[in-house]
Parts: sequence; C-alpha cells; structure tokens
Amino acid sequence: MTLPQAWMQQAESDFRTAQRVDINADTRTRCQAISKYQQCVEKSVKGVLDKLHDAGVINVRSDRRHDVARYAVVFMHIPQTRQTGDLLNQLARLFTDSVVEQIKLLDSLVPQYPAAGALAARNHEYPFQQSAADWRAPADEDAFTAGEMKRIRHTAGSLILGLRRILDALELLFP
Amino acid sequence: MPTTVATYPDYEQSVQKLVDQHRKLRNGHLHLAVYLAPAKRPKRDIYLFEVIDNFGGGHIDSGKKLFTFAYGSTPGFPLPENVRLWMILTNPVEFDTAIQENWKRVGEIRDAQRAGNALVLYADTKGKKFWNKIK
Repeated sequence: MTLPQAWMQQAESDFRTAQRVDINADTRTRCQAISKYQQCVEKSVKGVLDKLHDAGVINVRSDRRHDVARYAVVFMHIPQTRQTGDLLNQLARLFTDSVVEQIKLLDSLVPQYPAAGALAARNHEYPFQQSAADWRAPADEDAFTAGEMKRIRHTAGSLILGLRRILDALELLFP
Repeated sequence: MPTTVATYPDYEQSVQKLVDQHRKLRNGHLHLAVYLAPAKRPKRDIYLFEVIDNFGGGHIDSGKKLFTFAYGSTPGFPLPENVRLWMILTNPVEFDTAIQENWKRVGEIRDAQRAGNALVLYADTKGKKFWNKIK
C-alpha cells in the first residue's frame, strides 16, 4: 500500500467510526463524532494531496499540522481546463464555498492549548471557556448544535466519497 | 499536408499497456477493461472502461452515474496535444446495480458494444459475466 492509500484507508475508518457515535438522540457524543469527522476530512485530503505531489502535479505535500483549509486552496488553484470532465476540475469542484466553510470550522475545532492569558477556545476534545470562570466540556449537550452536526456530517460524507474516487483514479493514471 | 488524426482503435497497444499496469496494482483487483469508442463523443479521444474491486470504496453513486473523468498526457501514458484519455470506472457492486437500473453510461457502453466499437482488453471470469450481462 502507498502512503496516500494508507491515509485514505484510515480516513474511511474514521468516517465509519464517526457514523457509529453520531447519534441524534445522544447530543453528548456529538464532540466524539466531530472529532472523527475532522480526522476523516484531514486524512482524506492529505491522501489526495500526497498523491498529487508524488505524481508531480503539485509541489506541496502534507505536513504535521492538522488544519486542512490551506490544502483546499491548493486543490482549487491547480490550473483548470475548459472540460468539466477533467479529473482535476472535478477535484476542485468538490471544494465548494460551503465545503470550505465547514473545513474551516473543523480546523477551528481541533484542540489547542490557549496562548498565555487567552480563553480556551471551543473544540471537540478539551475543556473550553466561555469566560475566565466558566468552563465547559465538549460533551455538554449544547456544545454543538444540530445544524452544525448536519453540515459537518454532510461535508465529511461528500469529501470521503469524492476524494476516494479521485485518489483511486490518480492511482490508475500514475501507477 | 494535413496530418492523420488517430482514432479508435489506433491506440489499442498503448491502452493495453495501461491495462496491464492496472492489473498489477495491489489496491484493487481488475475484472474488466474495455477500450471503446462511444458514439456522440470526440473521436480523437480515448475511452477506457474498467470494473475494479472496491473502486471508490465499493460505494454505489447516489446520482446513478458511473465515475467518468478525462486526463491529458502523463509520463506513463503520453498523448498528443488535445487528445484526452477518458476513464469510466466502477466497482462490481455498483456496476451490477447500474446494469439492473440501466444507468445512462451503461447505455453508452452497450451501444458501443453493439456497434462493434468496443475491445475487451482484459476480462477475468467475473468480468466476462459482466460483459455478457451488459448486452
């Protein structure tokens, strides 16, 4: 298996796990589902990015950071042709404005320790603050809304399906 | 002097080489590979249809479309300028559904088959069954 394939296989596992804990009736597991949807998006994007790099189509490859929106920009800026059927055009079209918006939201929800003096920001794993004395847990029932869940679920679902097919196609074009 | 534009089945040898490469890939077992010339599509372009185990994670497209894309010249498959390689890719589960529900792209492949504009470059037992079923 190549590194891009390994990224994608792990992303699919993350997606299946996310679906298992994404239970409408239990809002306290929303944070767990978001965590897995975020990992699914990150890994599937890194898989395609690294394949395009290996194929010589782009000159950037994935790094250790978790934020993904910057990679979406790379995909959207690969020179496009007039033909809508071209594979790289299809790749760019996956990253609609609403998808990029959700990717930015997922990026912002990756847990990080706050800078000195700053409040801990909302994330899907660590306690966070609404004010200095008001700590919240990501597992709080209202930490994430039903609307957010719906949009994140849709984004991760569309990306994992689309990126898997594009990666498989790239593997055939650049064996 | 105008140059002669290559059309189906002029690329058979190079498409066969590409299919042979795909047979060696470990990430998906190839069942069927067909080089074809669908009607109503640019004649200078190359069309390759493949059924591969677990393609696209084994999912069935909710929009009832076989995944189809074009690509230009690559180091492994050099092409003249303005010639595109089109690939139509599916997995066995999706293709079975596509045949049963008569998806649009299946109709295109069937038409090429009936018109004698389709060359099977590789088919294992499962692939042969699919090719017969499409009729």
